[in-house]
Amino acid sequence: MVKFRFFSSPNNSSPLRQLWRLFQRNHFALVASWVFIFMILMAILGPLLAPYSPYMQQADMLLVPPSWDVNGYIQSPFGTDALGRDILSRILAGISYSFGLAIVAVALALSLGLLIGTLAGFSKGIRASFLNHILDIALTMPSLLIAIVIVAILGPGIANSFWAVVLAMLPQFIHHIRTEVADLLDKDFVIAYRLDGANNWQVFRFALVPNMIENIVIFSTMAISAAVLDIVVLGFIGIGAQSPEPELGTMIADSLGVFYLSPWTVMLPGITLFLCILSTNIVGDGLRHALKERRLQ
Amino acid sequence: MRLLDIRNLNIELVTNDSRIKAVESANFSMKMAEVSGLIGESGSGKSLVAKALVGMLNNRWQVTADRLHFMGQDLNRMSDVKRRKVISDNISMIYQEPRSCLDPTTNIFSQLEESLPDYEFSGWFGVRKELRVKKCIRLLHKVGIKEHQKVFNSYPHMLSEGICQKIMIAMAIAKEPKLLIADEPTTALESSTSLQVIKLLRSLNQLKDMGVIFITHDLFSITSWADSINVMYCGQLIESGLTKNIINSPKHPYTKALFDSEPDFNSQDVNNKQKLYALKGTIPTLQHLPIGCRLGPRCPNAQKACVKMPEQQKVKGQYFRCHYPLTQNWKKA
Amino acid sequence: MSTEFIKVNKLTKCYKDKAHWFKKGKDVTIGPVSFTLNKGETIAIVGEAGSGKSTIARLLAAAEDPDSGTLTHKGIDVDWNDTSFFCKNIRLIFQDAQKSLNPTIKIGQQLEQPLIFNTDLDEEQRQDKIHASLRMVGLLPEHAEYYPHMFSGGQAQRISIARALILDPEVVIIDESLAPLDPSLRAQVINLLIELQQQQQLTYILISHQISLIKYLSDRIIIMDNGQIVEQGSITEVFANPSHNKTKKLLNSLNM
Repeated sequence: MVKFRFFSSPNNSSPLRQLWRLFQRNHFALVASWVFIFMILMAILGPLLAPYSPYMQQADMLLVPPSWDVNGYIQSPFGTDALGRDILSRILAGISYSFGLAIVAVALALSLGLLIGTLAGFSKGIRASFLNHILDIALTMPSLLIAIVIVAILGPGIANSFWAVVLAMLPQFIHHIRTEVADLLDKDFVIAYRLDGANNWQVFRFALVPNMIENIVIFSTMAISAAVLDIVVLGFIGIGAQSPEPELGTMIADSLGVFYLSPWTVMLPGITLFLCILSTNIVGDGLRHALKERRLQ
Repeated sequence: MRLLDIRNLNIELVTNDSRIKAVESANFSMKMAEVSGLIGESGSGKSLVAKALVGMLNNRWQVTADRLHFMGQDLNRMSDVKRRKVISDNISMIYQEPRSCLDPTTNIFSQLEESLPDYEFSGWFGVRKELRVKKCIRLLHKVGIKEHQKVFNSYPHMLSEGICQKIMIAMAIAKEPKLLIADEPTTALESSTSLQVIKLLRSLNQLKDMGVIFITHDLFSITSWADSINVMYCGQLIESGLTKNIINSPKHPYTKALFDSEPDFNSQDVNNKQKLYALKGTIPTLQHLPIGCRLGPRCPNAQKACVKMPEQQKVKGQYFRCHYPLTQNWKKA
Repeated sequence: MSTEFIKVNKLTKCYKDKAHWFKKGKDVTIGPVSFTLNKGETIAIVGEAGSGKSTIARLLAAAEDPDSGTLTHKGIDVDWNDTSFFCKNIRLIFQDAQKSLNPTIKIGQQLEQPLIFNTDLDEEQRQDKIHASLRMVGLLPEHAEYYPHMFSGGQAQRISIARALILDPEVVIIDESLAPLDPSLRAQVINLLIELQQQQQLTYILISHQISLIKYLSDRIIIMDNGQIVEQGSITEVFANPSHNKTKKLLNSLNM
C-alpha cells in the first residue's frame, strides 16, 4: 500500500484504467482474479494436460488415496474413485464442463441479451412494451427452477442442461441491458451525439457500449457464479450430465456412497468447485467496490 | 450582545494523505437581527462555514475556532447535547434545491407538522391536533401560500421549485429562530420567484427580528437589502464590511472584479456588448493553493510582497486582507 | 449589416402530459410560434418554467420533431428530417457541460466525431480543425488527449462551445448554459462568446431567465408564456414600453 504520496497530481487515465487501478488496490480481489484466470486456463487446457483419460477405468486401482497419503501413488496425484478413474484427470475435465460451459453459457446469453435488450431500449411505443415484457414473466421464477423444467422437457444430458441454463439466464440479461440502454439514452451526451448527426449504430458504438461495459461485466460475474451452480446442481440431482461424464456435480453425487471410506472422492471436486465460485464472487465484488470508489473520486 | 461572534475559524479536511485547509482563519460577526451576505464562488468554503456553524459536518472535517459565540453562549465549551439543543432551537437553515430537500414519499402536511416544536401545544389529544393544523395553516399563509389545503395534500414532485422553497422557509420559521442561514436559496429558481423569496426573507427579518445569513455567488441579489457583506475566496474571508462602504469603495481587487463582472453594475446602457472585466485564470483547487495571497497568480496588482499571506487590516470599519488595497473611491456610475 | 436569413413559421408541438397541479393541464401545446433571425444578432427567448422556451430550442436544434410549422433558410424551406442541415447550421450548447461530454472517450475524439459524421475531411485536416477550435476557445491543443473528468466546470463549458463551433455553424443556441457558472467564469465565457460573434458573424439564440444578462447581451427579445409568444421586439423598445403583464413582471425583477 502506498503510504506516502509525493505528488498528488490528477491522472489522465481513462475511466477503465482508473477502475483497474482501484481494483488492484484490493489484494483479496487481485488474488481472486489470479485464481479466476487460472481456472479459465484449466478449463481450456485441462483436457490436454490430464495424465489419463477421464473415462479410463483401472480395475486394480480402486479407491486409491491421494498422493500425500501414506497409501497413495504419485501416478494418481489426487487418487482414484470407485471405478478406478484418476480423479485429477476427471477434475481437469470437470472444470471445463462445469466452469467452462458456464462461461460459454453466460457469453451466449450476454450476446443475445445485448441484441434484444438494445433493440428494446431504442424502441418506443407498442413495440417497446412487447419486447420489454415478453420475457419478464420468467424473472419471477428462480433460474434453477426454470432450468429443471426445461431439462425435464428436453431430457437429461449435459447439452440440454447447457441450453436450459442459457434460457434461464436470458430474461435477466435482457431486462438489465434494456434498463441500462433506456437510462443512457436520456443522458445529455447521447442527445449531443444525435445532434452531431450520429445514426443509431454510431450512438450505440461510441456512446452506449463504453458506458455500459462496466456494469455488464459486473452483472456477468454474478451470472457466471449462478450458472456454475445451476449446472452443478443439475448434475448433482441427476438430470444434468450423466455419469460417466466428468462433470463436478455428477462426480460428487456418484461418490457420495463411498464418502466414509474415501472422503477425497467427494472433497476434492467440492474444493475445486468452491474455488471456482469463490473467485468469481470475489472478483465481482471487487469490481463493484472499485466502481463505487471511482464514482466518489 | 452580538448574535454571532466567530474568531479564527479553521475547517480542515483530514484525508489519508494530508490535511487540506478548506477554510482558514475566518472572522465573522453579526449583530442581532442583521442581514449579512456571504459572497463567494465555488470552492470558497462559504457553505462549509454555514454547515460548521450548524454542526452538520461529519467526522472527516475538523472545525477549530478561537471563539465561537452564539448570543453570548460559547458553543465550543458546551457538551454535544446542549450545543445541539441551542442550535436546533435558535438556528434554521434552508438549502439550494428545495424540491430534493423535501421527503418525496410523504405529503407536505406531515412534513410541516414534524417541524413544529412540541412544547407549544398543550391540551387534550384531539385539541392538540387541531392546534397543530391551525399553526401549519398560519405558517403557510405567512410565507404567501394561499391554497393551503391543496398544498397539504400534495407531494413535493407535484409542486414547482418556488413553492417548495416557500415551504422550506415555513418549516424553518416554525420554531421562530433567531438566525436563518440561507444557503444559495435562489440559485435554482427563476428571477420572478427568487424575487418573491428574497422579499419574503426581507419581511421576516424586519417583522420578526430574525437575523439572516444569505449565502450566494450572485452579487446582484443581495446588495440592495443586506446590511453587511463578507466576501470569501478560496477559503479566506478577504473582505467584510457594511454594504454601502463595499459598493462605493471596495478595497480588495477581487471584490472589485466581482462587481465589474456583473453586467448590470457598470452602466445603465442597454445592449452594451463590450467585453466585461474578468480576472484571467481559474479558481485554484484546494490541493493546489498558491502560497501567500490566494489571489496572487490572478491579481492584476500582484507584486513581490504578495507571496506572503496578508494580514487582516481594518480601515473605517472595513476588514480586508491585501498588501496593496485599492485606495481610490470607485463610485457606481 | 443584418440580413434576415432564417424564418420560423407557425411552429407547434403538443405534449400529452399527465395532469399535475401547477402544470398546465392535460395537453401542453407550444405554439404556433413565428419569428425571424438576422445574421450576427443575438435574440433572447425569455419565459418562466413551462412556458416552452426550452422546447423551442430543442425544436430548432432538431432534437425533437415539431407537429407542424416550417423553417425557411435563405428563402428555401428546410425538411425537418434533414439532420445534416441542422448539424451543420444550428448547434446547441447544453446547460450542464460536464454531463454533455462522454466520460469514456478523450475529448479530442469527441471533437473529431462531428467531423467524421458530417464532413469529408481527411485525418490531417480533421486534426488541424480540432487544434484550431481548441485554440479558439482558449485551450491548448494538448488538451485533446485528456478525458472529461480532468476538466473544471469552466473548461468543460469551453469544450462544449468548441464542439458547437467546430462545424462552422451559423446559429448557436445557448440553452441556459450561463446560469450555473460562477460570476468570474461567466464573465470569461461571455467575453469569449462576444468575441466569437464579432469574428464569425454568428447568430445566438439565448435562452435564459437572468434579465440582467439578457439586457446586456441581446439585440432582440421574445417573451413567452404558456407556449405562446406574448411580446417580441428589440430590446430598447420592449424595455422602454412593456405592454404585456409578463414583461412587466420580468422587468420588475431587475429593480429590487
